Amino acid sequence: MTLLVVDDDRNILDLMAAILASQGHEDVVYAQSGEEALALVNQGQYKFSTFFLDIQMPGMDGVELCGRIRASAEHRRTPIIMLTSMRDKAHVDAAFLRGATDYLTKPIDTTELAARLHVAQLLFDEQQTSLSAIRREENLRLGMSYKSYSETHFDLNDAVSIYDVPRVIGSLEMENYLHRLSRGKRFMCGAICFQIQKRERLFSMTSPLEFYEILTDVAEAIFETLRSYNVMISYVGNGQYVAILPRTLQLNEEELELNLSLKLREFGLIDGDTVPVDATVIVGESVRMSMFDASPHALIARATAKAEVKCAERSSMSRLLPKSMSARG
Amino acid sequence: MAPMPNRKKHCPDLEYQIARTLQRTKQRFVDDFSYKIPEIEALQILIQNEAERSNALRRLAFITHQFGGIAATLSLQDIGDCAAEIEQLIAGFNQTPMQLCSLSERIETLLDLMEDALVEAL
Repeated sequence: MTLLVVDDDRNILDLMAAILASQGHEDVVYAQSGEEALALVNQGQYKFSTFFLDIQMPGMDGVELCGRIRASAEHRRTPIIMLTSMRDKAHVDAAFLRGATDYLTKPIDTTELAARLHVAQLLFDEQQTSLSAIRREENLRLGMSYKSYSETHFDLNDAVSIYDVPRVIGSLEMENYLHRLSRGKRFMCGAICFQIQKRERLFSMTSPLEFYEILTDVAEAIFETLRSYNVMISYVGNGQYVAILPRTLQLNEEELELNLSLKLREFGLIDGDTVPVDATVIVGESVRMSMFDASPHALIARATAKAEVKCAERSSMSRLLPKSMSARG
Repeated sequence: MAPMPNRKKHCPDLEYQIARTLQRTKQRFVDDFSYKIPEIEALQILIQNEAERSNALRRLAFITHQFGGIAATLSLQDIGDCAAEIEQLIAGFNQTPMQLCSLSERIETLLDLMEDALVEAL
């Protein structure tokens, strides 16, 4: 397995060579521009297992390069780590939106670099051993209805990747994104969770492909509803999505639910021809990064817990409603 | 610079190797100051000229961005911090005389720090 390091600064390439060698990485290829790197990727001579990309380079920059690498089927999931001096949120957002897996800033912290690379390599190894999962995601992504149940099946709690919906990234990428943000300004963001109500029932009533289509439609509806806020959205499994918001943004959850419901009707999801199932999306109370626990995992967990509570409340209310109505009658 | 899709091989004495690479990279980085100092001085003059300012700022932002990326790793933290500060000033530059003045001051500081590093390396 080979690493590709791309940076226009020769000094950085020399340093990376020494650091990576000290960490036992022997197969490393270096490129000094985006164009050179892309040629190496397209050549197919090396089987790259992780990419390190600088952002600011003359010609093709690292964000563009990231998107171009992701466009090739072979590297749709290969870990891409941005290694850059650009610390502002706009660059962090742009990199993750073009497919970056992780984001490190210079000066190079050798310990952090080793840790992040280790995670990336584990991810790559896992991808290699579960090729059936990759094929399954590809079948889902391309909507291959002629594929068998086993070739498209996934569990309700699987955080399957949603493709081709703007501002939607994978769950691992979301954790890395939050990790990056929390390194800059620790308490700058909040999170809100969207949960499909009666998800177990819906999951059991539909085929994997149909459920995946519902997930994609709901992701798109969330994006459309929040599009003016430049949020990051991720499907985290269990019929739940988490959107990362600016800390100061106040959202009205009831209004969001109504807008989402209207959007889903527009898409023809509810009572429509594609999936004739009544899917309702509940919006949980938004949460903020806490000064006592700024970990990405904790933020996501708190947001999903809020949505679970609200969903449970709604379910118990709907169970009680017919009784109370009949009592009144 | 020659393209370098090259493969670097594992070395047995890795700690020594990494220390040597750091030293060699630092030496090359500092040696390059003898070219970069006159260039930054020239850019500083061009920045005062409104017609030349935009291109000069772009080039200066590129140089300081590169410094910011590597200087601290080479134990030249002051240079890295100062370069990052200049890069930020350029990013938020609105052409006001006060901003121009503080930018010039920071460039002077950066040039001083670079000269110190160059002298120290002799």
